[in-house]
Amino acid sequence: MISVQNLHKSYKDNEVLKGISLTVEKGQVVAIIGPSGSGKSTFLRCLNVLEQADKGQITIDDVAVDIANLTNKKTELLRHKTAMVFQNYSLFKNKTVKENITMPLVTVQKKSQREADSIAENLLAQVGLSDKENFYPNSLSGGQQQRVGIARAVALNPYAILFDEPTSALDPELVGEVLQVIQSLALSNMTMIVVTHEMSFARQVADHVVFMAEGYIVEQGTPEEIFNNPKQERTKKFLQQLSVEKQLVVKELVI
Amino acid sequence: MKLKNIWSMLLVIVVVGVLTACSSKDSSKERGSVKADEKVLNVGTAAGRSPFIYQKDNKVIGYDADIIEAAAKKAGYKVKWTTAEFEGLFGSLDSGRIDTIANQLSVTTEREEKYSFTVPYLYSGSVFAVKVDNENIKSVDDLKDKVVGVGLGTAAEKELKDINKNNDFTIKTFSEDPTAELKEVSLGRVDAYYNDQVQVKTTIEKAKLDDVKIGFGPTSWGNIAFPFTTDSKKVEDISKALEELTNDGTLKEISEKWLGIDATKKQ
Amino acid sequence: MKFDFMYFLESLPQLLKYVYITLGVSVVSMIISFVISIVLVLIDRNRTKVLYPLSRLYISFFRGTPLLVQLFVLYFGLPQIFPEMAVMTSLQAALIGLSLNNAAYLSEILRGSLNGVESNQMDACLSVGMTKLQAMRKVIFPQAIRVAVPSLGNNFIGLIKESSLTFVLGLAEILAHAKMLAAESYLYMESYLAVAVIYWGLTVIIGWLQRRLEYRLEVPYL
Ligand SMILES: Nc1ncnc2c1ncn2[C@@H]1O[C@H](COP(=O)(O)OP(=O)(O)OP(=O)(O)O)[C@@H](O)[C@H]1O
Ligand SMILES: [Mg+2]
Repeated sequence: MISVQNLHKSYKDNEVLKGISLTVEKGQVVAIIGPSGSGKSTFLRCLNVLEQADKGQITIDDVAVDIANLTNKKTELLRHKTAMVFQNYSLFKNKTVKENITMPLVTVQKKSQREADSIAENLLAQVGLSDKENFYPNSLSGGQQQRVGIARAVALNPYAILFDEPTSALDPELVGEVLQVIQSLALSNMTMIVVTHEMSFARQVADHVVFMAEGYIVEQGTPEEIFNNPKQERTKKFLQQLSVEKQLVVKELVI
Repeated sequence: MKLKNIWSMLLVIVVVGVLTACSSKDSSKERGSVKADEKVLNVGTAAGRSPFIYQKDNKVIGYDADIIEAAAKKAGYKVKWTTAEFEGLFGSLDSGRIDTIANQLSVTTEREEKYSFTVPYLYSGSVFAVKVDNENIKSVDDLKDKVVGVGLGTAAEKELKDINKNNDFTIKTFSEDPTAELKEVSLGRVDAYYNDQVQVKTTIEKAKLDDVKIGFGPTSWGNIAFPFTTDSKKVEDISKALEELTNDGTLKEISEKWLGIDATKKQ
Repeated sequence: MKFDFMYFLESLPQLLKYVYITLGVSVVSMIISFVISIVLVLIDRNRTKVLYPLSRLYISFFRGTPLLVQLFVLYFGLPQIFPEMAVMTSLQAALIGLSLNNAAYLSEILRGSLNGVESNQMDACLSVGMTKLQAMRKVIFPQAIRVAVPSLGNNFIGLIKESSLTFVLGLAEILAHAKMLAAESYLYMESYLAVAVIYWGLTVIIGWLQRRLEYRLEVPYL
């Protein structure tokens, strides 16, 4: 179980997270939606301790920390519980596709090179990139890079995978291949928190949807509850705006 | 994998480098212990002034070299040579790395305040070198409003400044070799160049500077001697040896061999 | 005055005998200064307490004063204050002086190249559980080096030429031998041109090696 209690984070005077509490059950897929700047990325980064929150409690699986007395050791333990998939893929540019996956396994998890290699080969086959093993990230398309990013996260065998808008940097025609990979992960019972702007995807794949705005969780519930019967004005407004934008895009395309 | 190789190669090179440095340190210690028993005289030079002192086939030779070798031998020392840039010689002397300098050093009042000199082993007179067709510069008075070159930081520079008390002419300093300096004269960048007479003569001859000659001089004489730090006990040994060598004619012989004249007397 | 071409040719092999001194001093200094600069740049990135202002002071001093002065202070000045230091040989002093000086320049080169590495690379390393040091070694540094190689090559060529200053300490490297050759023969132009040709040859070789290295480091980005 992932349990976050009253998480706060400020950059200088700018309070970005104003007391976030959230529970995610094992195997659950949680989608986080919300307007730009509402603190979604910051929240994920705090879970992965890429940013250190100012206060609050985070429990992931058997690791429980109080931010107030976070030690280096605890940071490490907590970080090992999750893996991140980034919006801009963030593959290691100086490593081949395969090395991107094996290097963390060998350096961090102390697996043998052979074991790491076979894990990597397996996962690359699953995401359909066996033929790109020895390519460098720069020579791959965005969709291919993001699939490697996902394979790298899965290879770590974390308790949960955190996705930060995994498709929003992609050309529309490449979004599908990445969402497909995420969907198959969801089916395999992986615990996931996915920040996304793809509402149809959230509706389809997520067990639970969280709407964030201005540093708060405004509303959460099943996809059904959030998308069809939002209770909060702020949520309604956000969803309305989205559909208006969508219509505009459609109109533009028609004209 | 390849990067790893580079790293380990670098590591090996560093280790080897450090070891080399350490071993040379050891050998210097050995040298130190030899010094105590065998009476070594560490002599520094820039080895850049033929025929006085220069290097040939990695050996320091020349007039100064023969003199100090002879004196050291007489006093029971063995000479160990160190070559370094002129600017570094006094630093080496001050820090005790060398005992003395053999580099045609003039005895000046400033230097005398800081160092103890041996008796002079050469009297140098500096001269004004001019263009071969220049008949107008025959005395100090003729230098009025002219440009005169001289080596930076040399005793000659000090002398020249004393001559030019009234700022009658312009002094231009150079930090180069004697050939390049005398070429300033033939190129017309300076009207005259002030330097030691033997040096000027030899340079004109060896570098075949046909369009340069000695205008006039020497106007005064400088004493060339070996400087030691004031706390050195070797200065008296060498001084005494030099006096003996003057008396038995060895010095005169060495001078005639290298310089073609007896420069151990004023002439 | 005539140019004595024969003498020029003859002095080439004579001077080549001493290339190993110039090259050896430069290579060893380059390596030592590289190690020092890595420490400096790590201090810089971590803003380590106490050490950070000291490292800034170090860089400022060694970049802000002439190498010649630093060599003088190291070899002649310090032994007058600490007599034990007089055991230092001119070779050791040259290596130490050049290394300390060059490290200041290298650390600035490395700092610049490290800043050029995208910040998401460090995020990615940390997110997979690597420590900062592992991240530096495996990902950040190799990427920075690629950007740094042209500047490093420049720096090394500069170092080779600057190593001639160590003759003030009595380390007779190739330029010193050229000077002494010239003083002996009075053929200054010939000797200096010969040494110039050798220096030039060295830099051409280094430039060639540098481009090969650049090409190899460029492979992931083609
Ligand atoms: N490193 C940082 N330093 C200072 N301010 C930051 C930093 N990172 C984020 N912020 C600020 O925190 C707020 C929340 O940013 P965050 O990236 O979490 O939003 P988001 O919900 O992910 O938005 P988006 O949908 O655009 O990705 C923004 O106002 C942003 O300017
Ligand atoms: Mg974001």
